[in-house]
Amino acid sequence: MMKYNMLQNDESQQEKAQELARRLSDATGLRFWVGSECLSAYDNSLKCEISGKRIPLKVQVGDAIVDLVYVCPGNVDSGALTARLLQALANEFYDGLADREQDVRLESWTWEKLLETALAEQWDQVTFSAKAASCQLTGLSQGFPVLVHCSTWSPEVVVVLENLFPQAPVRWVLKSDMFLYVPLDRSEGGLVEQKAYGDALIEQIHALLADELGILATVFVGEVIEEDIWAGFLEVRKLTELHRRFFIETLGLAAWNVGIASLFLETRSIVGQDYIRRALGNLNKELLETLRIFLEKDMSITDSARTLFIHRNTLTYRLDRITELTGYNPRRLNGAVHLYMALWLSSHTN
Amino acid sequence: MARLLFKNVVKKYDKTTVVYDFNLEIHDKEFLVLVGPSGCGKTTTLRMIAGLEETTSGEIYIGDQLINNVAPKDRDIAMVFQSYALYPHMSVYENMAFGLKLRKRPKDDIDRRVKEAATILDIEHLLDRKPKALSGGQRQRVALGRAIVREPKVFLMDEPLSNLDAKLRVQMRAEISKLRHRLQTTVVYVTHDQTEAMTMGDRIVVMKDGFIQQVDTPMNLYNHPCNMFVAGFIGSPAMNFLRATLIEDNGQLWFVNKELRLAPFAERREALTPYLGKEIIIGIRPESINDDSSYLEEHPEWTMNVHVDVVEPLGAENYIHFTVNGENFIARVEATSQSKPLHIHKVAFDMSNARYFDVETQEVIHRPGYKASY
Repeated sequence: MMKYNMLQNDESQQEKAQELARRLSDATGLRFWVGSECLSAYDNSLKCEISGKRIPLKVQVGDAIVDLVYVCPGNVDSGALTARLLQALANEFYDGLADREQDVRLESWTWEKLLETALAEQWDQVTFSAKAASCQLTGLSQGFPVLVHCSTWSPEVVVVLENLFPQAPVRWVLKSDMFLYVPLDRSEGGLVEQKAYGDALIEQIHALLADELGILATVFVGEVIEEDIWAGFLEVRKLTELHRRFFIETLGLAAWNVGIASLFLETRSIVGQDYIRRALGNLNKELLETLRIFLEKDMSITDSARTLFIHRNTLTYRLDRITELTGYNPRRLNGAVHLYMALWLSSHTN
Repeated sequence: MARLLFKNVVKKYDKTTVVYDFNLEIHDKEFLVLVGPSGCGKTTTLRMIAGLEETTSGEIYIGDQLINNVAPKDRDIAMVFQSYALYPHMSVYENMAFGLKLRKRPKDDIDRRVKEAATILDIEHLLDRKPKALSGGQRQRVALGRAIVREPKVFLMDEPLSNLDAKLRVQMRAEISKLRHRLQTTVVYVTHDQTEAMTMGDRIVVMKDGFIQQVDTPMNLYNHPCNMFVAGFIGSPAMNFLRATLIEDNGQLWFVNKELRLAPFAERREALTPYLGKEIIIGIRPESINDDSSYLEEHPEWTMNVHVDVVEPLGAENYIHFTVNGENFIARVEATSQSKPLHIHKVAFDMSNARYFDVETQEVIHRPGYKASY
């Protein structure tokens, strides 16, 4: 019989201990009980009908030493050899359990393990928050959720990013991605400064991994959060989808730069293409270029004519043609919005 | 030897082509600048050299080695970006050494390289400091140092000065120029700033929409642009453009547009004659517009009255913003100019320096005195 002390603050600790005892029994053919089932809480003596000599064992579990007790039943001889064999068995079985990724928590909960479980079991925010609280995982200050997607993976990515963000309390590796929580420096100031810092994160991480490791990294930065790390992870994961569809040429994407792309994310591409065709389908290359420059230059006739190397009158003529062919007047806000959205969709998709 | 060779390189993202049929030879120890507006393909080209982006088709060579399938870390290059990140808890020495440690260089080799780079960059006295104790310029040097210690065949620099303030940018431009002479290494430098391009490059590649527009020395690009885009992109303030029709009157050629009447430089007659009766675009740089009284007297055929909108005094010179036939122009004149805003003022276009462009193709019609580089 082994009494197995588990260290985490999990409400299902008893269940997990029973599961472990059952698996040990199955693996060894010996009978195991959870300590609380057969040891007295008052004086740690054996209860029930079990009797025999106790052999204390110690198993390294993560950073902690777990005390186990094996009670030799009946008249089975036990000695130092038995103790050494049982110790090796317990250690190996624990190692074997870890290798087989059994769902037995033998260590303290960490943010990374919580996120991993949340992803595997598809928790919602409420479940995640409740679990985090029960595991006493709190105290995250304001920061950016950041997802780094690498074209090729190397363990040195972790080394580089850990050294770049030594204060990051969360660093979670998922295959060729790494999720980080980058605390916000209090000196970052207001929203504008924070967003500038977030934008810089994309470039800095990309640059560092490119130069140090020759790895192409795409970086996704979510809105500033506090404690809501699961929501932050889901947000940056969504950014990867937006990036793939609309921003594939960029180094990454920050949540505040998504703009109207989020409107089109749920739109089937055929619907988008139809929208482009109806808005712009009648325009030739010259008129499309004229429209693009006109909107880029904030509808300034002077700046647009200069950029296009044409006379103002020529530009006015072309804008009249665009109005006639599309039904939208680019010089009026309502028309400009329609045409801008069609142009945007056209340039950000194929 | 670290020459780079691009052969028919194309880059596509799915169906969108971002770099078209790129052919270029960069010579050993050359400082080559890729310049162009945002989205022109210059950074993508740089990333293809680095191996961060695969080419869709075509070949890239460093020296005699085809590098298309060589892993980025094996290409013997070092990159410097506009956003450099230093490891906050490491000293300057450790920041510069870190990459070499990852590459498992011997300790004494790391020490030698770091100290040599620190000497070149004049940051030996900073080696024990942490990044937060450094100024912006010092941090930029450490970022450069991190690249220098790798002793690469090629430096790739992607807008390294873009995040610096104007004063520091000017200072660092000179530093990088000095550095390349000391290091004697091939450099490919990307920027959107034509001033940086002009002051730093041995040659400049002007790009637009994924195409190479012109590859030439800075002075050739400035004096002999091959099309209107290059002419308007290179030079600050930008070249002025004016549409006019070429006519002949009593054996004299004239450019006419409403009230405007300008005589082309006599030596351009032969090149312009095929355009008789057609519209041409005239390009004239701000410094080729004069308001000096003796110059006006000498060249009445190039003189006109203009309406001055704004006068910008810069100290050593003035910029005059004026309007001709509804088109906006900028002239760069002496600080002693008598021009006043909202007044009529006499200026003369130095037509000997004018450039002419085809209205349809926007290509230059004639490049007098042009000598190709390399």
